[in-house]
Amino acid sequence: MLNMNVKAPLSFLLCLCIYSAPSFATGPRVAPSLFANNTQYLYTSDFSPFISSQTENKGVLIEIINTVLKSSDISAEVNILPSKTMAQYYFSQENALAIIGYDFNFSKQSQQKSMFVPILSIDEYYYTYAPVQQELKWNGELSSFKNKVYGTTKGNNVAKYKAAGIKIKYGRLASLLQKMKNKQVDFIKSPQLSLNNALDKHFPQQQSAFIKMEAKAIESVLGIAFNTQHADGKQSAEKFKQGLQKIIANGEFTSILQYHLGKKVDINPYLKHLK
Amino acid sequence: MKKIISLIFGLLFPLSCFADVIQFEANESPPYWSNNMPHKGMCGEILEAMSELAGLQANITFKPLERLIEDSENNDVGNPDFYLQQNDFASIIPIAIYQSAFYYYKSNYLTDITLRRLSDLKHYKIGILKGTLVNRLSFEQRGINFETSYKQESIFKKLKLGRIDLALEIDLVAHQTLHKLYASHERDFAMVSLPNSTAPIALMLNENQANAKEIATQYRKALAELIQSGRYQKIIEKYYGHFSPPADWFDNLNRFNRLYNFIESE
Repeated sequence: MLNMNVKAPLSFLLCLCIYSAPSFATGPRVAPSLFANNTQYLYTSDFSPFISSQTENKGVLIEIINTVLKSSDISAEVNILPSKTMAQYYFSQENALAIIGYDFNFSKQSQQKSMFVPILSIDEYYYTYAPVQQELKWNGELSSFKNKVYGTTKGNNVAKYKAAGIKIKYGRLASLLQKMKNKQVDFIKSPQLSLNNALDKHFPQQQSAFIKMEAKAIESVLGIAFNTQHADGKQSAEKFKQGLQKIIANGEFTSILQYHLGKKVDINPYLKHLK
Repeated sequence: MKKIISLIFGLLFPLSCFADVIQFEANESPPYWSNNMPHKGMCGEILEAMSELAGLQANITFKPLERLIEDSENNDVGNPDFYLQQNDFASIIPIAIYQSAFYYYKSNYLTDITLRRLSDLKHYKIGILKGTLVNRLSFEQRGINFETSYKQESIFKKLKLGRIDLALEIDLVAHQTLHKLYASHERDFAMVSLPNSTAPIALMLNENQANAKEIATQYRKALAELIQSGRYQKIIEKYYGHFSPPADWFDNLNRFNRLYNFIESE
């Protein structure tokens, strides 16, 4: 009945970003990524404010990556998926060009085929909900959390927590905060910026109840892991490294950080991995 | 007195209702899920048949999508991508797929519309359902404009009147809407298919669902039996009518199965 001969050579992937008040759970999701068939994807998931489908230019890390891709003439698009495990699937099982983020929890096989380019250093801290967990202290050893419940995102590596006798509950940051309030989770780990964003959005009146434990839990490095088994993987990784150095040297990197994190931001902590 | 109370409770709340019924929540999205259709729509009928084969009882209640997404304690049905942004599930079982396409009214154009690049869309005003636009800002930066409508029928009426140039809609929904509105001249509408827009429709079992893993195993087995027996195909064909389901239906169903099995195993 319809003109089926009108075939567009466009290949559309209605990708998985954030939905502005979607109304149909089984509906066309009109995503910005209407791509051609041969588009290469860099997969990731939300990690606000570094990766965010809700903010301009998709967050500070993605703006840096897109700037490098453009300046290095690497033809690829960032695809922000609804979960970290989905990004891990496309990298490990469907030979995607790259995965963006950190703590990829790679299998030995995925680890061997990945070439990681570090971009931003971030400090992460343990947090607890003070009205419920007044006695919980971080002494630098995970054994101090033995028999407690650690809340984290599915897809993160939890082996060392399990080995220390810590129980695991999964969830997104907002739901983990709620679970801490509900006594289902005792502590979580997060960069301060991410936690502050989540508190501003979901618990604006109760921010002081969520307590940061000193000292920092870990220094993590956000970056992009290229797939060396992908036809363009090694070459893209090399081009990306050079492009990144170029935008650090010419000041674009600093400008992007300042645009997203404020004019007064000290960029040195974010570049600790370079030292 | 105790006997009377027990009898009243027994009549009002049979034990099986508490023990066995798996409660799913959906939002109204016909013909896939609908409280106003026999068997609650195409996927409702698939779920019904799967439950029968698995010896399980399932019930679907309908709520607005935003409430479903916000609820992290319930079992959902629909496209997992809408829910995974905020929720994790014990098991996700894809039971069907759907594809989207662009449509235009041929009489409004002297030649066929071809869309080779994303930038080609800049020339058109595109009609979509309200609430389905993902990251409006990104589209606006590319100079692509949308007009939203509350109902599918409104989109296609606007298309015919030339108030919009293109409509983006699920192909089966568009087909049924056009058949309902313009049965005698459906051929006046052209479709530009988007083969890689394939999305899954799945049962999502919450981590709080008792015996979620066992239920998922039973449902997966039942789905395999349903497909094997040919009954699944009949259900699909009933809803698609003379409009063909996507040719690579089962390949895509398997692909989504691999994805969600991976997520579940992590």
